[in-house]
Amino acid sequence: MTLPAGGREGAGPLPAAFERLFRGEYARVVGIARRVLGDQGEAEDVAQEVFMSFYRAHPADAPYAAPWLHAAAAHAALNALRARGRRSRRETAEAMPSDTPAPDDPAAIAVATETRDEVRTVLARIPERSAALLALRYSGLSYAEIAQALDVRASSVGTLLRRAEDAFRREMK
Amino acid sequence: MNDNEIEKALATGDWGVDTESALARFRLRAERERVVPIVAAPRRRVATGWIRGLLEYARERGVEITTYTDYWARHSAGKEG
Repeated sequence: MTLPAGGREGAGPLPAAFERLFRGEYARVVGIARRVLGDQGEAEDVAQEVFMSFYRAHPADAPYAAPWLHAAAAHAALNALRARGRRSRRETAEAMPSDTPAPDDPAAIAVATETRDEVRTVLARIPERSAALLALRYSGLSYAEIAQALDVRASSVGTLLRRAEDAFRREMK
Repeated sequence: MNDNEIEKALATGDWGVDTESALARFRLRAERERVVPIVAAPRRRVATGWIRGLLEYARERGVEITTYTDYWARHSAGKEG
């Protein structure tokens, strides 16, 4: 059972347990969202929303806190990806990470942008669980962590991951 | 496309995150929106207190209190007899 904190009106510091959770999981939550969205700013916005949803509805010391955040990051980012629609080429180029080709190579930028857009299109097109699985796995989560986040048996993660990779390959051609 | 190529396709560059700035942003929003956090309730005490109160109320009203096992045994015997 959970109850609103008595007497608090939202002002002042956050509960210590929540701040610990935020510090411990923020980078990972952003990383998961960034794998899906390919954009740091959007990923950080998604992470803020994910933590806010958790903060509003769950106690920070809940044993399921981290898996909940990981799953929510993947699903919220996939929702944002689908809602994003078509972005202008200029906006996309501005959102490219710093290790992408220099701006004085338009051809390379065009190719990188096209690939990046295709990856995101494929993630939005394959089944949500497969896309979430790929985002979690390639963000560095272990099979056990993925199993907890997606509420599947750890022994099934390998099979599910292979299916997700196959779906991704098929769509990428 | 092998696993490494999928990894490469999903790569997004090596970005760092500023967790403290993000936490400060979160605190501001929580304060601005006056979000009330959820804290774990002392489950056992709440349940015990609630049940205790109910039992006291039942006794005051003269309601017989019995275990489920006893109730079921009596109920079944009544049906069979």
